[in-house]
Amino acid sequence: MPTTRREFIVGLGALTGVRMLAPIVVRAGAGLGEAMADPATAKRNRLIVIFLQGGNDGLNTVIPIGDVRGAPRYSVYRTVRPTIAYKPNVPLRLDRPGDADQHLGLNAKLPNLHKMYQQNRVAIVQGVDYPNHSYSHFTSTDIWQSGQPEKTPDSGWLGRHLDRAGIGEGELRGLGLGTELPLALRGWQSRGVELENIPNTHFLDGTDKVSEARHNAVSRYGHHPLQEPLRHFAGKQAEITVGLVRTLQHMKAPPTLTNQLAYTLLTARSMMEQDFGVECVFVNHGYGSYDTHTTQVGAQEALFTELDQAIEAFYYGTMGGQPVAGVGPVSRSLAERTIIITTSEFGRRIGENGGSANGTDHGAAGPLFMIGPPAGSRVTKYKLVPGLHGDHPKMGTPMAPADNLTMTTDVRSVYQSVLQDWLGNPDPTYERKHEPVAGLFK
Amino acid sequence: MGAVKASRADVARLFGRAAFGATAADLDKWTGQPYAEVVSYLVDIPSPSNRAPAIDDSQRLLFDKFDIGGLDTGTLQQAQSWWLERMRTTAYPLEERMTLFWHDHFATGINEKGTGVGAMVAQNQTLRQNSLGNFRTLCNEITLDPAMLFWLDGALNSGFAPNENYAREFFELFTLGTMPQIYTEHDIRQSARALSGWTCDPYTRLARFDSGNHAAGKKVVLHHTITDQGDKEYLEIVNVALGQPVSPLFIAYKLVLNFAYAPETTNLMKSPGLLIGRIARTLRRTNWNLREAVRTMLLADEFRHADESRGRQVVRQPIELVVNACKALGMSAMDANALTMLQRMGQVPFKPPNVGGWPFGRDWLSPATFLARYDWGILAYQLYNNGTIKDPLPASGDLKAWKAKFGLAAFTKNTEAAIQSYLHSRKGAPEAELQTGVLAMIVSSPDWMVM
Repeated sequence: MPTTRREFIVGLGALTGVRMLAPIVVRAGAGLGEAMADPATAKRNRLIVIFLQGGNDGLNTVIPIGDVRGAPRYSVYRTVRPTIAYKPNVPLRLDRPGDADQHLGLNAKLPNLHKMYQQNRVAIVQGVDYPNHSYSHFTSTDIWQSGQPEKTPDSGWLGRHLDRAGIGEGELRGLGLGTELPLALRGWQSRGVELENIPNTHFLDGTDKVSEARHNAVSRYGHHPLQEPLRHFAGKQAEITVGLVRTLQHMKAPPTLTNQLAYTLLTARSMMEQDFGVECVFVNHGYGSYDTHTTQVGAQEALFTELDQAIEAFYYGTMGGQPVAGVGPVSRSLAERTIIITTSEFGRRIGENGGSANGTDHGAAGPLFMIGPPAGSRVTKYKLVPGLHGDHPKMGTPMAPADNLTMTTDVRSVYQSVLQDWLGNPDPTYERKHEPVAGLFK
Repeated sequence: MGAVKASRADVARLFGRAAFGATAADLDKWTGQPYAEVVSYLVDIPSPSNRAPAIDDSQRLLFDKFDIGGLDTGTLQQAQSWWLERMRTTAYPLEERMTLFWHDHFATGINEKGTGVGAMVAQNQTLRQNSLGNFRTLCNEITLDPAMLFWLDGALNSGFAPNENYAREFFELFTLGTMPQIYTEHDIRQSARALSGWTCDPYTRLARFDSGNHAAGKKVVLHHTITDQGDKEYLEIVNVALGQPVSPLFIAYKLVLNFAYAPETTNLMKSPGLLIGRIARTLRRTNWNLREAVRTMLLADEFRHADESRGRQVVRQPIELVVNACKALGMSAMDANALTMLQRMGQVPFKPPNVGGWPFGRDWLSPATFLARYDWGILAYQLYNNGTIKDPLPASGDLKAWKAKFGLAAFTKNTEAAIQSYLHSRKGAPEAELQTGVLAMIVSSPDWMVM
């Protein structure tokens, strides 16, 4: 049974343990470049990050439904959002037994998330942001995905984790599901692998002898000299692709679903259940549709319905959710080792836009969800602590509402919690400056 | 100083980056000619208003008249195919290449906010007419362009509670950039006020100013005061932005990024690099003449002698690759397969992922896009086999003829070795099988992707 890391590298050269192969034609044959499963990786904790693209409005996600002493949140909310505020009886109350009432509710289009919250599986970190906030989609996305607000971002927060883990080229430990590898999964030396989906990861000309000769030949583009770095990179991607196709050719894809996010999360589930070492998965949701300058309520609710049902489908079998045709329950061992985090590049302004816009401009801090294993699981060293974490940002008063929600939790502290307590690999550049969020894991 | 003669590699690179690829005839015709003349052939073209209508203009006008907010998929696909075919067949390839550049720069996409096929095709013509014209005029026109007014909510920007969407992207993506960011949140809010009051009249299909919906009073933007100029205030916003020293540097940066290489600079004011600096000077000297800026870029040594060891090459976008392949194969880009493959490669006209435009550089080299490029080669051979493509293909082993057909001056050593090793491994196989292989290997090769 192969157990050394090099053997999990997807791509030609992996099986022999050498970077540069002699002419491939000599070695051509089925299985070359195919990654082997490694049961040892089954014990890794897993992480899925869902990026709500466009800037999700936090105030209509975790919603004030009443005023608390010294913080008239609901009165402010209702005053500055004449058309897009929810009435207090609409959101789903966040009231786990034993919690002090924070007068907050969850958007009613997130019923499964609410159910999991009540089942002690969800942590909500409030007021997450970074200092000197940028209101640009692009700058702020880069900062969220890099965890580097203090400089021009040069690497992703999970990419640096892959660097510290010392993965090889093409190793399937970080996985971006899409057509473009997100910054989050780009390290200084290492990169995650990006993949659109399982069914499309095959060649049009199939896998017979005739086509395999061609695939072996394009793999050879991976030998393009380093002196032309862009062409070298292009060639390496050709080589990695051939390895990916050969690795995934027998893997079962989820059934076709209209909910793209659900389909993507189920793809992640299939990949993680195969023990190829997949550990961190990054997924985009909404492709900019969370950018609700106008007609916000309907747009956000449609996205939340997708998000909620996708999370239900992923964890189906551990929470009594609705079965998805053709999709079995998640394996308990995977569910117990997987956390899903939602992030977005920013929240939105407290007050809504005027005229008939019914939307909000780019804002600052927002809440972040962490969805974890079923209560009572014992397999991981640390467990996610459910409930509300961090303080709700101040909103001013109805007479003098704040313009923006300001940070109460630094996103780097959230990342450090995940890196240290969940992935077991803290980021030394955060140490002493950005301690993990107190009490998020225990 | 004697005129520099264009080498075959010069012609291949120039056309590959700026003209959807050279044909075999282009390579033969221009190799050995003065380099400046080849550039002039691409750059010095009559402006669209001074020349006979293109054969496909009537088709465009048809789409143009289509419901401004219409989202019909069939019509959208026809309009997309129409543009791809125009890229393939035009006598002025740089004009279409620049139109594609501006479509990425002012990235606007079809959506249910009102940006329909009719609006997109009209915007496309605005971009084309100004593609090598004056950048200030282009900014003025795009600010009131109906598709843009809907896409970035300008049409809903009320003076009572301004919508910042367009103002922010106008500075960040269209004129100033963030290297460094010289504008503040205050500047954005004030600009949003100055830009308020514009909407699109559904009958005239033109922008209309509604003074009742315009924020009255003083606006201070980038230390410049604008007071009660009503429907002229948008022109002031453009002038204020283009008056910033970083603005020509930013546009020069975008040109270099799209046509030449990914610049290393992270601060355009402190260290723009030679080529960006030179193009920006041309823009300043000519008061934003884009034709001269592009000429400066294409003539520059930094463009011609890409330092390959520093990665100073450009990754071509899927649309360029597909149009180039159609051109090489003599295949109509109206064929539905072209659009289908572009969808898989992640780039179809009128549907950028967001206002930031398409990915660039290494992001086009992912496994998903590699698969699509390879499959495109396999598919193209099927189209050849069933008679859709009529031009003959070279014999599988005639690599010289394949190179010329695909507008390449040479294969790199490794690519040539890979193709040879393939042919060797299938020695004696039917010619159709081998031609399929060579075709697929060329359109998925590093040489074809990176120029």
